[in-house]
Parts: sequence; structure tokens; C-alpha cells
Amino acid sequence: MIYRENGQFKTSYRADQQIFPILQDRAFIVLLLAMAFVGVPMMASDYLFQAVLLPFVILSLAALGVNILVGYCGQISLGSGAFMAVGAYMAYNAYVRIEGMPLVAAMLVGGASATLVGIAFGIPSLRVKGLYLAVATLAAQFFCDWVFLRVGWFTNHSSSGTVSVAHLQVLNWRVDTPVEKYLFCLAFLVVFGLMAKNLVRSSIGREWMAIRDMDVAAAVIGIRPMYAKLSAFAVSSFIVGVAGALWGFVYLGSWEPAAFSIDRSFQLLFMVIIGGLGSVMGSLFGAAFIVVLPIVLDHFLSGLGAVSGLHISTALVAHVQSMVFGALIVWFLIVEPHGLAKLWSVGKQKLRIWPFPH
Amino acid sequence: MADDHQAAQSIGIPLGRIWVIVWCVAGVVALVAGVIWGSKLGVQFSLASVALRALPVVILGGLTSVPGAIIGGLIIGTGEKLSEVYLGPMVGGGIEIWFSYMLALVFLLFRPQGLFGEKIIDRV
Repeated sequence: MIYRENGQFKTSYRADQQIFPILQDRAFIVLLLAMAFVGVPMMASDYLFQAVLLPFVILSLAALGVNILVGYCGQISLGSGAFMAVGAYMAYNAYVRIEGMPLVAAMLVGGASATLVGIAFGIPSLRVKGLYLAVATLAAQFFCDWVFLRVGWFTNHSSSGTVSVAHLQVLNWRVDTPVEKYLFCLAFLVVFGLMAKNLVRSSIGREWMAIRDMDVAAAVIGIRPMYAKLSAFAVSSFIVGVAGALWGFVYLGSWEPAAFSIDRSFQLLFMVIIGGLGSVMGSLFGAAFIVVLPIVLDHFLSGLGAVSGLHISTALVAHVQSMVFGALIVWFLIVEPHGLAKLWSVGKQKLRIWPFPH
Repeated sequence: MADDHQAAQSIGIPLGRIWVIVWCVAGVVALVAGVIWGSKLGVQFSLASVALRALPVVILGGLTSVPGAIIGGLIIGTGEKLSEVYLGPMVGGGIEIWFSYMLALVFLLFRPQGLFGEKIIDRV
């Protein structure tokens, strides 16, 4: 009744090519942004920012990058943690070694370095795919882990491989309270989200999807597989690299190579699969699911222990939490293999035709 | 079966039972490997990441090849340790964690079917 595109006629090419063609969608997005930028900082507590919102925003950005590669271009990658590490460490080097380097520029340098590494490790994708490509990207993961641990230059010759960044400053704005950190990361997420959304509906995004759906057919209709695949690797690892820099600089503050281990790669891949392959919105849903669910389960189980009067130790809570979490992922993938984004679009469709069933 | 699910089903191969058998055999073989590994080197949670190193082994030996897996395992296992001993000191040590993956990567680039795998591999 309310959510309808009936009567919204397009009379110019501009109107036809808008990013959100339906008026209600535009209103929703504006409302969402207003909520994220103004509403949330007024309501949430510092704990919420530090434990939930900050990781959620940064990992959404990383998941967005992985989604471009895995969801839109169909190239499976287990090296996203490595690209995050490259982004974080190169941003650190740019920030520390070059006098007066602006923070945002340092992060973009991190992203650019991750792009180069991503392209280099994307080259095997020209010859192999599927499981083979997963192993090839695993090489990137382990190799980068080792490089950052062993090669002193990257960590500014710190003995344990731990580096830290203090006094984040953008122009004259000191980014130090949790709210400011959140807003800083959110700005990155919005800019890159918009960029990705536009990119995937452009010709280059359609090339990626053609490669994903059937590479031979795509090559036949004149899409260069090399160009399409490597561009997907480049864009994806740029976004993942910037997310890695944010993760290190803003969320962790001081970090070591283990922060970007193989577990991180798997986590990002899970986010993309659960959120929905090939959907910008799905990356956000997936990140929310992976970040928030363990915390909710944790509180729920502790609460359950308190209510039932049983003594439940912290270790037991942690173990049960990971078991329930794993079971939920499996259950969820069986029930909805297309991820949370599919639920979202089903809901939209229902709303569109409501109150009629068809 | 692995080549084409639908074709396999249409000629009367019971998909469900085959899946069960395949997973059971894989589980039992992995179980034996796990028991041997555990009895020699101890059992920890980090054992889970050992399984990742089986991937370069099968790629080196070639998928769909039992002798390939055995020989690949030997090459990867000894290669890791030898590289650590002989090449490690030159670059600062600790290279055994990525050596096998890099070896697999090189193999994928030049011989995607591995040492003993079937010749035809779907390339782009």
C-alpha cells in the first residue's frame, strides 16, 4: 500500500538511471543515514560503540570488499585477512615514515598497496578457479602473515611485530572518543558503499557478474576475463585494505600480525555468505550477524544462568556460545541459502504487493 | 557424480547414498590421520589448522589420485622441513608456514592438474 512504484513515471534518462529509482527507497536511505550519523551517536553508550558498532562498521566495509570479489565476480578468496594486513601495515608505514602525512591519505596508501598485492595474488585466478583459487589465495594469507612477522621494515623494527598508532587527527579534528571513531569509520563506509553500489551497476559490475555466471559465455560476448577478474581483485582488495587500516588504526590502536590471521579471512567469507553473495546490503547484514550474534548469545547465556540459578562458568558460556553460533550458521544456510539479503528482498516484494498475495 | 549431479541422478545413481558414503570414507581417513598425528605430536585446538595443509598436498599430487596424495604428502612434508633448514636462515626463518602453499601456487600456474591428476582441468 505504502511501498509502491506505481505512478512513479520516469521522463528522462537521468531519472531512469538513478541509484534508487523508487521514492520510498530514497526516503528510507536518507532516514537510515540520518539515523546512523545523528540518531545513533545520541543514543548509544560508549560500550556499545566500542564493542559492537565500531567492529560492525569496519567489518561491514571489509565484507563489502570481499563481496565484490566473491559475490559479484565469483572468485573465491581466502586471503582477505592478508589484504587487510597489507592495508593496515602499509598505512602505518606511510603514516609514521612520512612527516606530516594526513591520516586519510595514509589509509588510502594502505588501500593502494593492498590493491597491488591483491592483483599479484589474483593472477592465478586467470588459470584456475574454485577450490584451486582458494588454495592460491591461502598462499597470500600465510605469506603475508609471515612477511609482517619477520621483515622488520614493515613493523618499523619493533621486536614483537606489534605496532601502535596514537593521536588520530583529520585536519583539526581529533578522533579519540568512541563516538568520533564511529563517525569517522561510518563516513568511510558510506563513501565506499555508495562507490561500490554504483560500480556494480555500471558496465564493469555487469562484466563481473557475467564472469561469475559463466566465464566462457562472458568471454564469447567480448568480456576480457583477465581485465574483469583483475579489476575485481583490485577494487576488492582496495576496499579490504582500507578496512584493514581502519581496523588497525581506529579499532585496535595497536596490533600485531595475528590480528589479521586466517581466522579473519574465514570470518569475512562467512559474513559474505551469510549476508548474501552479490549484494551490497547483504555485506552489512552479514557483518551485523557475525559481530552482534556472539555478543547477544553471550548475554543470553549468562542471563539464562542467572535465571535458572545454575552456576555456569565463563568457559562453558564461551564454548556453548561457539557451538550455538556454528549450529545457527549451518541451520541458516540450509533454510536460506541466498543469505539475509534474500530475506530482505522477499520482504520488499511482499510489501510491494501487499495486501494481495500476488 | 562429481562431473555432473543431474546427469548422475538421471542415470539412476542414488545421490544421497553416495554423499553419505563419500563423507564417511573421508571422515574415517581423516580420523586415522588425526589419531596418528595426535599420538605423535599431541592434540590441541590448533590441530584444526593442520587440515588446511592437506589442500596443497592434494593439489601437488593431483585431485582424483590416491598415489598423488601420498607422494604429494611426502613432498610437502619433507619440503617444508628441508626448506626451513636450508632456505630458512637466508630469509629469517619460519618459512615452513607458507612454503607448501607457495609450492602449490607455482604448481597451479604451471601444471594445474598436479603430478598424477587427470589431464583435463577446466581452465578459463
